[in-house]
Amino acid sequence: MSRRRLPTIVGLLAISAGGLLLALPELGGGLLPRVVATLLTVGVGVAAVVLAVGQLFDSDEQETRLPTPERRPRYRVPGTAFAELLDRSSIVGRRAVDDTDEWDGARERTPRERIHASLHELAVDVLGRTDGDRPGAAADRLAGGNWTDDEVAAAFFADGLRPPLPRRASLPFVRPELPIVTRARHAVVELAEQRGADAPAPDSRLVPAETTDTEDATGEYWPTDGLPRTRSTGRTKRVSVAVLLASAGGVVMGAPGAVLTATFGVALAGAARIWEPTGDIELTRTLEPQTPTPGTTVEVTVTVRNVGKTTIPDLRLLDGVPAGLTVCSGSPRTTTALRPGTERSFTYTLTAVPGNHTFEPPVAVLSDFAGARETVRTVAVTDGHESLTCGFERRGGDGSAPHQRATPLPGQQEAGVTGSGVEFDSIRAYRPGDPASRIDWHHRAKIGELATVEFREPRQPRVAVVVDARRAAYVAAASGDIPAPRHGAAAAYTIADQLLDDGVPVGVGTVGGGDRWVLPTTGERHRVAIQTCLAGEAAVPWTPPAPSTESTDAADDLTARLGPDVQVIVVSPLCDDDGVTLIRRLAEAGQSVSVVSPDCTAPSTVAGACAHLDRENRLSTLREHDIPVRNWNPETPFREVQARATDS
Amino acid sequence: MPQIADRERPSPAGLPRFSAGVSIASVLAVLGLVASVPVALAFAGGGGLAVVAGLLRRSELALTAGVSGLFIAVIQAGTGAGSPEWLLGATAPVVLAWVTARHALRLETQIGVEAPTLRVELVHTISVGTLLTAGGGVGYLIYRSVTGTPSPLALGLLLLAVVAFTVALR
Repeated sequence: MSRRRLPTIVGLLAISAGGLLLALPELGGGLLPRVVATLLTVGVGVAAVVLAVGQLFDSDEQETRLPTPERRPRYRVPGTAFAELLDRSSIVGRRAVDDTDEWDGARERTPRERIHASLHELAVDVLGRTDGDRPGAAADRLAGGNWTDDEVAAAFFADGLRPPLPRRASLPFVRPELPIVTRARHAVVELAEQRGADAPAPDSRLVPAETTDTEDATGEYWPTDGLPRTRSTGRTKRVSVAVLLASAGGVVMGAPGAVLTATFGVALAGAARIWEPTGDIELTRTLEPQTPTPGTTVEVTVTVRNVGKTTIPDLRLLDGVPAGLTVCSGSPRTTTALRPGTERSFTYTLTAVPGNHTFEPPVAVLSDFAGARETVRTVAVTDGHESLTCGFERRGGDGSAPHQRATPLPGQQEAGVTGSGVEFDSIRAYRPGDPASRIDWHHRAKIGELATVEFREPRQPRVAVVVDARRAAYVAAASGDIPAPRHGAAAAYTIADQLLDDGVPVGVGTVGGGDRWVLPTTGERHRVAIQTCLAGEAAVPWTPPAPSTESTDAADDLTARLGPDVQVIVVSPLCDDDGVTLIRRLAEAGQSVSVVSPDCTAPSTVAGACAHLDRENRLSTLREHDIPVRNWNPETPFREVQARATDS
Repeated sequence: MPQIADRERPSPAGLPRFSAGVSIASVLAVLGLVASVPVALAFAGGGGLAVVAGLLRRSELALTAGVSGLFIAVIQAGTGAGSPEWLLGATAPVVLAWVTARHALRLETQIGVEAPTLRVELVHTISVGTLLTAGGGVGYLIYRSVTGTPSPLALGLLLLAVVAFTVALR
C-alpha cells in the first residue's frame, strides 16, 4: 500500500488545489507566474505520455492455464511419426541428397532418407516372413523392383531417392506431393497387401488433429499448481493508457471535454481497486448412476452455492471431470452471478469407461464487477460423489469367494521349482542342513561323496501380470481414445480374476507409470487389492508418465523382483521396439513369458498401415522366439476373447 | 474425435451473443454520432471494421486498434463543434464497445460455447454501464461547477491529479 500512498496524496492535494482554483479563479493570479503554470502543465503532460507509452509496452500478467475437462489427454496415434516424415519431405531434402550421394553419418538424415531406411527394413521383414526370403535376397528383389506388380511402389526402392520432379514443384506457392512421397505411399500399400492385411488407399491420411503432438500429451491434465492466483486481466493497464493520453492531449489542445473522458477510465480503474474478486462458494455433485457399466452414460448434476456475504458478480466454474472420462452432452463449465445464499445447478453427461475415476477439484474463476481482475482457485466439494466406478467386476458378477474345490489341482503348468516333493528331478551336491532322508546313499557308495536328491515341488505356478505403462506405450487408435495401457489394465484384471478363480497365486505390476506392485498370492482380499491397483489411476495413470523408462533396466528390475518360478504375462501394445526388448530380456533371464497385446493401430491410412505392419513384425519376432502372443482388438472386451478361447 | 476438433475451432457464432451484440451496437452508435463529420466518420468506419475483425478473429490487438480509431473519431468530431457534454456522451459507447468485446472474448476462451453466459453478461454490462455513468457524471458535475475561464495552473493541477490517481490505481 505504501507504494500507492504518495501518488494518492499528491493526487488529492492536486485535485483540491485545482478545484479551488477552478471555483475561485482569482486566487491563481498571484500564486505563480503564468509561464510557470504553463511549464507545470507541459511537464506533467510529457510525464503522462511517457507513463502511457511505458504502460503500453508493459507485458500483461501471464494467463492462468485452465484445464480442458471435456476430453481426455491427447495420445499418440501409431503411425504419426511416419505421417510427419511424409509431410516434411520437401525439395530441400532432395537437394541435401543431391549434395552427398551416400549418407555418411556426418549430417542429420533428411526425411526422405529416413522414410527409405524405415520402409526398406520393413519390406525386408515382410518379404522374409511372406515369401521366405533371406534379408540379402529380399534386398536384391527390392533393388530390382520385381517384388510387386505396382510400378510406382517398385520404383520407391529401385529408382533411389531422387525421382524426377514435376514442373509444378518449381512454381511458387504450389506444393504438389513429391514423387518420393507418392512412391512411399504405394510401397506401404503393397507391403500391407503382401502381408495379408487390409490395404489402405494410397492417398489416405491421418486426420490433422492426430498428426500434431499437442501439449496435452506432455502437460498436466488438471493444472492446479500456483492456485489460488489473482491476476489483472490487462483492462486497467489499457484504461490507464487511454486516461493518460486523453488527459495530456486534452490539456495541450485546450479541450476540456477530452480531459473529462479520463473520468471513465478513473472510474473503471478505481472500481477494480475497490472490489476484490473473491467469494465463498460451496459445491455439491451427484452422479446417476454411480456405478455404470462401460459404454453407458452418467448424468452429473453440480450445484454451486454462494455461502459468503457478498455478491459474486462473475463466476466461471469448471467441474473436475476425471481424465479418463469424456463429456458426451452438455458442458462441465458454467457461468453465473450469485447473490449471498443463492445457488445454481447445471447438468452434463459422461460416457463411462472401465476404471475407478476420481473427480479433480473443480476450478472457479471469480471476476470483479468491472472485469479488471480475476481470481482462479479450486473449490472443495462439500457433499455428494467424488468418484465413479465402472467395470473391473468379478467374473459373472459374483462378488462372493470362490467355492472350495474338492480336489485342488496343481494347475496346468509346472511350477519349475525343485525341493521336497515326490517326483524325482535331479541330484545336487550335499549342503549342510539338508535332511538325511534326501541323501542319495547309492551315490555315496558309488562315488564316495554326499549328494542330495531334488524332487519337483508340487507347488502351483505363480503368475505375475505386468502392464506396459511406459510413455511409449501410451498410444490410441485415435488421439482421444482410451490409451493402450488402460486397455491393458482392464485385460490384466480379467486375467488375474480368472487365475484367482482357478486358485493360482497372481500378482500384478506395471512397467513405467506408477511402477506399482502387488505380490503373487491368493484370496479375496488379494483380489480386491488387485482390482484397486489396476482400476485406479495410481498404477496405470490416464496421462503418460513424463520420464521415459529404459526397457532393459525395467526388465532387470522385474527379474530381480520376481522369483524364477513366476510366470510372467506382459500386456503391451508393442508399438515400439523397446517393448519387444523388454519381453525378450525377461525371457532371456529365464522367466516364462507370454504376451497379451491390445492392437491400437488403425491400418485404414497409409501411416496407420505402416505402424500396423511394424507391429505385426514385432509380434512375429516374439513368436519366433517361442514367446506366445495373443493379439487382441480392444474394441472387444478381453473377457469375451478369453471366454471364446476357453470354449474352443 | 471429430466433434472435439470442431469444438476447438473458432467459430464466429461461438462468441457470447449478448456482449458481442452490445459491442457491435455501441460501434453503430458511435458511427451514428460522428456521421456528420466526414473525417471522423472515416476513422470510426475503420475502427468499427477493426472491432468486428477483432471479434471474428479473436484478436485483442485488432479490437484495441479499432476502439482507438473510434476514440480518435469521437475526439475529432467533439473538438470541432461538439460540446464537452457531447464528447463525454459519445465516449461512453466507445468504452462500452471495448469492455464488452473483451468480456465476450474472455468468456469464450474460458467457458466455450456450450455453457450459458447470458446472466454474467447482463451483470457485467449493467455494472460497467453504471460505473461509466457514475464516473462521467462526477466529471461532468466538476466541469459544470467551473465558472469563467479556468486558469492554466488549475488545468495543470487537474492533469497532475489525473496522472497521480492513474499511477495509484494501476
